Amino acid sequence: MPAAKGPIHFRIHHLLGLFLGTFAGIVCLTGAVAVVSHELQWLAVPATRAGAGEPDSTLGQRWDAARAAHPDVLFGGLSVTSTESGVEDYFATTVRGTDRGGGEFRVYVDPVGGEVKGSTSGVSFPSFMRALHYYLFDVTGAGFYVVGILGPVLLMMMVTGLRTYRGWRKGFTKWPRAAQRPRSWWGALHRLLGVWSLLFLPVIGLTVVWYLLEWDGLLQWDGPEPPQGTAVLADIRTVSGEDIDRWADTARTALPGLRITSLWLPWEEGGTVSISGQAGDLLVRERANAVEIDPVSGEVRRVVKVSEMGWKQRWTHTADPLHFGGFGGLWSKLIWFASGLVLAALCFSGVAVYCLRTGPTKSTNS
Amino acid sequence: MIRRFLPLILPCLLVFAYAALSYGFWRKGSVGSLMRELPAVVLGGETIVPSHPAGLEPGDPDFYWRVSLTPESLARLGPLDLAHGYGETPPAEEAWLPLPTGTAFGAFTANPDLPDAATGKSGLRLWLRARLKDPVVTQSVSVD
Repeated sequence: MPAAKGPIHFRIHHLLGLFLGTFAGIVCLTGAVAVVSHELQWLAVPATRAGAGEPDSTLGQRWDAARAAHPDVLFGGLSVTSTESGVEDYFATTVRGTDRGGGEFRVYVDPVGGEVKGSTSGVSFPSFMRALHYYLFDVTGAGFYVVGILGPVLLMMMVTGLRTYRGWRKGFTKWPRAAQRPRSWWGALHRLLGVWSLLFLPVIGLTVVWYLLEWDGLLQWDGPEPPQGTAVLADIRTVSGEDIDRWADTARTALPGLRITSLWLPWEEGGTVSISGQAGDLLVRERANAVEIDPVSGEVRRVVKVSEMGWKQRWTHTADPLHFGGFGGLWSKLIWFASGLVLAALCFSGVAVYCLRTGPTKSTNS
Repeated sequence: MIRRFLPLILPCLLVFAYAALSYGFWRKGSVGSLMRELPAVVLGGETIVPSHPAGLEPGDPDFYWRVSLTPESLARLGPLDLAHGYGETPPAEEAWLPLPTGTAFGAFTANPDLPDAATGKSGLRLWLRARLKDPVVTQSVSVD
């Protein structure tokens, strides 16, 4: 392994890039794909697309349609794929449940007309990408730390890179020239991507540092535990669309302006019906605003409003939209997707610089 | 040459080999355990399909029974009880367990105690009972 010479910040930049550059590049790439995973699924699976026009069916009607089409499936909730900016009208409503074998089962119902468009089972593409990017499929939790450590690493590489790159403020328009030798060309590209990544790398890096602290239990700002219902539903299978619509109306009354993005039936005995969505707040994830309803009495057990949160709890719900860029609908997602690609290219161009630099002619210039 | 590029590639290779190994466990956890279905039981004229996690036996902490039936069948039968035991004799009253209901993903599952639990013992039968039927109806199915 060739040892880097030069100032300490360059040596740190070189060392981190050498051992973690390729890995960081792939994680950035999976993150970029994860940002638009629902849209990619929309492209690949026609059943997930909503028809043209305004939604004219209630959540309850969509629930009933899914139940009628798949009587053997045990349905536990429904969700309207959305971004933090509001409900995305190009997605079909997903009614979620488990099949007879205990596997995940999703029925897609068109909000326009309320008809079932299709179903899928097993792992969905967004779930796959999320698990790969978030924790490398590692159910023990160790994978989360392996990925999470890249947050501080990326920030350190940013700082040491800037220290290494003299005159970086003028580097936003310094494009690599075709006439340059390959090593110089890749170096110029690396520097160009590096300065442009300053627009979003701090956001990505700092939110990952936050995830690390949150995951570690050092900072738990996510409010109190949800309340319990007072009674138990006679049977989850008898929940009808009428029940769903009644609970949805109760939630909208308890939290005016609520645009429901998910509704979950109790997960355990004595649990509540949990309804969450957006209520016009800036930069909060879907589950931030929520209403918990006793499924038997129909009473509201708890209302969680973003507007009543302290700044710590509010920040907990803001990290996700900042990291994944879903706060502005499809356009912000596409910008975050492009940013993720730039970060990945930044990592890989650094790797290319190293490879070319350690070729037949040895040099320690960056 | 290989030594030069090893630090570049090796950490990444190790991490993603680890991810590939983890994938199987993650997928199993995501889609639920593989269930072994028993022959359908006809109880009071209604068809019920019992199952349990494949490869596990009563007494295992992760073991549970799952019974599936349509909402209409359940409405006709009313609450169900479940028991299991060895041999053809119906289990004693204290061995019956009402099936918990009212949850999205835990409904109709139970893991009752098996008084004479002995894994590998033959003649295990699963018993189902509809208490509110008049008369009470009971049916069993061989698990072996």
